[in-house]
Amino acid sequence: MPTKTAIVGVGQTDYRFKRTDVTIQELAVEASRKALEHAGMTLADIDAFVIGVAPDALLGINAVDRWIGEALGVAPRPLLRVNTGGTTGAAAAQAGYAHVASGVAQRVLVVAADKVSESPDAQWVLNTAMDPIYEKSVALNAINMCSLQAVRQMDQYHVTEKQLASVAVRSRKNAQINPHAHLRAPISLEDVLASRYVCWPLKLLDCCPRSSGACAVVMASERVVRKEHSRAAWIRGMGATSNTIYMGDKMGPGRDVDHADWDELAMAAARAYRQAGITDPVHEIDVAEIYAPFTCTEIAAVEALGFANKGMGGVMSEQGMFEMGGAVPVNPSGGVLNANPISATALVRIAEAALQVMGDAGDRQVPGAQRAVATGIGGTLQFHTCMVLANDA
Amino acid sequence: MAQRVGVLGAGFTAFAGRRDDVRLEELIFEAAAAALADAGITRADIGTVVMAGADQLDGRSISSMMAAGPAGAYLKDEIRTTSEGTYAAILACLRILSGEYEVALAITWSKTSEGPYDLISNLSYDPFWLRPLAFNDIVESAVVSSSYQSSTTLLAEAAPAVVVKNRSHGSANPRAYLRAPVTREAILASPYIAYPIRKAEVPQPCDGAVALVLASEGRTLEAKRAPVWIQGFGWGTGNYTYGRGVAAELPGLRAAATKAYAMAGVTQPASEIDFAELYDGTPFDELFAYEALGLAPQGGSARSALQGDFLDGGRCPVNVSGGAQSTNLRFAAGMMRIVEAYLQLSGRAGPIQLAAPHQGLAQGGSTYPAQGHAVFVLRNY
Amino acid sequence: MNQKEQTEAPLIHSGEWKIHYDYAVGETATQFFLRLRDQGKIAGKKCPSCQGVLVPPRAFCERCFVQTEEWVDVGPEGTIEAFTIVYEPFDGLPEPPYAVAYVTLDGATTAMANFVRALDLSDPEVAARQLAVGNRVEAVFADAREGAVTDFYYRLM
Ligand SMILES: [Zn+2]
Repeated sequence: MPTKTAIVGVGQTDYRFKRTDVTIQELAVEASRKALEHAGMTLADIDAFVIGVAPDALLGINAVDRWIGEALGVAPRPLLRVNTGGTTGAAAAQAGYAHVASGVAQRVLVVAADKVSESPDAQWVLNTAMDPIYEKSVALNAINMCSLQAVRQMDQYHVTEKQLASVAVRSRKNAQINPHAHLRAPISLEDVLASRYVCWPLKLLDCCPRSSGACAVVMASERVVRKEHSRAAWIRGMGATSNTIYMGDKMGPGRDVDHADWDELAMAAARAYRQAGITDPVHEIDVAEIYAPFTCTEIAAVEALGFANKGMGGVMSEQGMFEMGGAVPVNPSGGVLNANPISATALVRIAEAALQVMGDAGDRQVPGAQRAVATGIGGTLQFHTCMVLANDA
Repeated sequence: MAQRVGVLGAGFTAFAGRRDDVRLEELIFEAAAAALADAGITRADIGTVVMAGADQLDGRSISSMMAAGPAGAYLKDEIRTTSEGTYAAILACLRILSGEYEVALAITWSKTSEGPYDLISNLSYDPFWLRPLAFNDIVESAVVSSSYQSSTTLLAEAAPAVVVKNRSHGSANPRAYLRAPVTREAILASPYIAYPIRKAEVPQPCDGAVALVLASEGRTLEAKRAPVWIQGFGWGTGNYTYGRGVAAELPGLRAAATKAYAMAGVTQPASEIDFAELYDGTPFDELFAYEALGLAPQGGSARSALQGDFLDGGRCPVNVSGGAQSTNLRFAAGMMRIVEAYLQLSGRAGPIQLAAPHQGLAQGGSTYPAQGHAVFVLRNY
Repeated sequence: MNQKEQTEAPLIHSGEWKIHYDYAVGETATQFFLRLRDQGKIAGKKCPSCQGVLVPPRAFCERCFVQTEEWVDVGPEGTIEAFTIVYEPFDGLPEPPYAVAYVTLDGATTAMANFVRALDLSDPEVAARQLAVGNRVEAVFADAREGAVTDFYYRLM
């Protein structure tokens, strides 16, 4: 039997474009210290460390985990780094879970940090993630690969630019009550629709910012939680599904999964839901933190998570289903559209979901939240993660 | 530990200085397909794919994007660590023991012929303190060596002996990349590249990929082949900068070994371990590991080495495969150590098969900066 | 040092990564590029198991996990599966605007990305309508070809 595992501490820095006052080491320490404080622990209590940092080139340091580890006083303890692109933070959390659930560690610190503003342009770096032989020279990057998804959603499901805009407006409204969020100025539907095209059909306000910041969570075994903690966010289910890097394989007649959809997330969610005993997500999930860096991606995600039928995500967004107070509040934090510290972003989703079920989400708390789902997305929309957290074991 | 992880099979590619006949992804597929075939299973049997790869070495940002498909992860669970090749095995073991997955493919690769390895190694250091001092893995290994507290005269004598031993072992191993033995004289005639490390003590690198199929205890017992177990494993981290303790004592490796031995119930490694496959990117790495792993007494590594304790036929043969000195897969070198140890315990090591070994040790590469170490205790009973 | 002694904003140290790679394209992609360069033809590889014709060609099928063997010429005409028009400049990437489309070339079961040229992109809505999913394009080959993806581009028919 796996050891039951919970998140008992969450720490986040504020997310800002630049943090020239600190190094990446200090940024990671800032979030770690907050998480340990929230968990009522010190660094000496930690058995093992997991560090999530996505592409080396964004920070300009290859083995940055070791440098961060020095600041955390890791030696001689175990340290493992995870890098799976956008899903890095979630993959780090899944790795942290494996440490505890296997019985190998009792208390694990998972931390992820990024200073995206220190590289000239994230999209140039993300272009180097494309196939260097077949696709890099066609100027693909993270923004236009999502545009490709939006184009297919529009073609197949008649998703409209207005539906996309509704995601941006709602997210920004929520960001205003999250002190950590990077973008917090109010925006209207008209503002989104009038913003300039970046990669058609995505406009500036359909896109996330580039942020600097760090997030950390402390995980503990059931034995530790029962002895030392009055509240915890239990990890009740998780899944991850990878697909090919080649987006073209998800478009031609030979496709298993369509680039318009996130069937991979649906597979990961099916596993997580099964483990958590969830059969009716709309009624059993109280809040969702979805990794949606572009408006179109949230529409694919709410469908994959079972909150809306395929093709209906945009309509339901427009109708208010995902507002605070709606059937399933999505991204009370303001989501990725308003803060994207790339390496940490997927961990932020888990951290925010944990805060919700612990009742520690402050002004953005969904009243009485007992079950939350957090997702991650990475690669060419090819990596998907899902985790269900609950206030009971 | 109530449960343990079994090894169902291993796969690796042909090794060559340059594998220009394949792009990186095809190299990865070659190892993954070989491992599945060796384990007698198909991709459908795999629950999770755990990869280890490093972006800059691979020349691809987030290189797992390209690697996931060829590693067998199409529409499957997959995760990637960048720490070092054997960390894929660590994470796969954790995932299996957590009960999440029954069968895992752990895979890593190294195709450093395509990029400037020394520069990339230097870029692994922080931009303010060590990178400007031209640090890289060899320089750090040399700095670590300088901190050794026992006789450095003996150490200097033992270093070429380790290379001669491993290259001699490798000459009998059909899987090794370098098959020609070297002489002590040739090593001593080669210049220092970073004192006390000589040019002939750093092996020529090769391209290749290495994979293991790991499984839960229950699933392993269902397999036809006699089981080989990962009875214990541990990993640890050294200091990033030196000044706290003695670097050559390899605190990260000691912590890793302590954990692995405790899990496996090993209390007297020098007598309980039949053989070991250790990281030997330089002979000093191997020498310091003897002590950190308890295979030689404190301060006794050089003497043990010089009296032949670690030769094939000695008290505890080390790197009968030839080690990284014969097959320098760099990022994947440690994973090949696990594979060689597995083949020994499986009785399938071919011409280098030891007589009836029961318990062996495999060590993951000492990756710089800060020396990440992993230790595996494998057993066939 | 007194904490108040800092009188300037935190320092920034500039650095640049210049890492040169020689990517081995391997035997499969080599054949593809040579055929493209020397004959102006686009070829895919067929999976013996699922019969998928993979374009660009892969040495193995990720789904069936077997090696591909047979070469099949595809195109030069095809159908747009997805596209975007880039209006924002990105460091190190081409000057906007430019259009990129995934196209299933006739005979292929997967779509391949390339630039769409010879199209006025000044009005996003007009250009987007012309590039709609399902519209037909043809591959146009450069006169001087070097054995790279950019040896051809797509043009609306
Ligand atoms: Zn196939």
